[in-house]
Amino acid sequence: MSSRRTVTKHLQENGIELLQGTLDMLILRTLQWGPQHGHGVGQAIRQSSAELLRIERGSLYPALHRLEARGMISSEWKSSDLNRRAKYYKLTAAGKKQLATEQSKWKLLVRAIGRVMRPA
Amino acid sequence: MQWRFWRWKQRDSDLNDEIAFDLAADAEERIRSGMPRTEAEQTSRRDFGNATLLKEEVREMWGWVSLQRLGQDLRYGWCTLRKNPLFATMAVLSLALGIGANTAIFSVMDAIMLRALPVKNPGELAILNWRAKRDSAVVQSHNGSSYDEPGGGETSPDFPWPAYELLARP
Repeated sequence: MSSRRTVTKHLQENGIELLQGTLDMLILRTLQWGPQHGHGVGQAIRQSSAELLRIERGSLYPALHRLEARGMISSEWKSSDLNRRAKYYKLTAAGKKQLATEQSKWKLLVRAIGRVMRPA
Repeated sequence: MQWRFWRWKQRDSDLNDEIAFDLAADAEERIRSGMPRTEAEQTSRRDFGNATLLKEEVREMWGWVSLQRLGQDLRYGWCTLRKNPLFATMAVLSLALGIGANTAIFSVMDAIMLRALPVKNPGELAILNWRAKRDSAVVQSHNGSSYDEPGGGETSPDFPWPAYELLARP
């Protein structure tokens, strides 16, 4: 627990940045588990990355709106557990397809970079 | 245009609500972990970052995406036309015929009905007809066209030359 906190602190101070284009994939992946509002998506990414990734709202919301405009996700205003209406995002069929292609591309990229960077 | 404007406004207020919800949810979490309400709300707002900048960015993005979509539509349309030359020819031809026919009919209507005649006071123009009882002593017979009057007798816009000269005198 304490070691994780030091890692998080270290990352926050030095700034870990997402690779360009991976945020969209992370959002689509998170929405695979069901409809979620913007705040929930941010929290889910933070939790499932063991607090290593903290998505700035300044990148999260533009990304959500971009994905919606491209038809990858759709939105609906629903009442939330907070007694207040929230905008819930949901994967569309096009979004599911996009997620599948991005996921396989990502796997390939990780394998390729892993090979290059592997200790000689 | 009005509809579009309305949609932009709706989108704006949706974005405001969305941001407000994020702030509320974030503060709620801090309160649940024991932070006093005012402090929690302040921290959430600070943590959120620049909301104005965010709104600006999202708005710009909407505009950019709709432009991209227009480009996609145009390209798709062009490709479809290229793929079906017969369909494209028929479409272009029917459009050309439709537009041509409309223009022709409109120019005729425009000249006849909409444009005033090129005289000094077109509103004062009048059509002169003479009217006569049937078998009257004044009009025995005449050349040109005349019409039967509903009440008996006949009427015509044709005048003999001497009569025209008399009427045309200022």
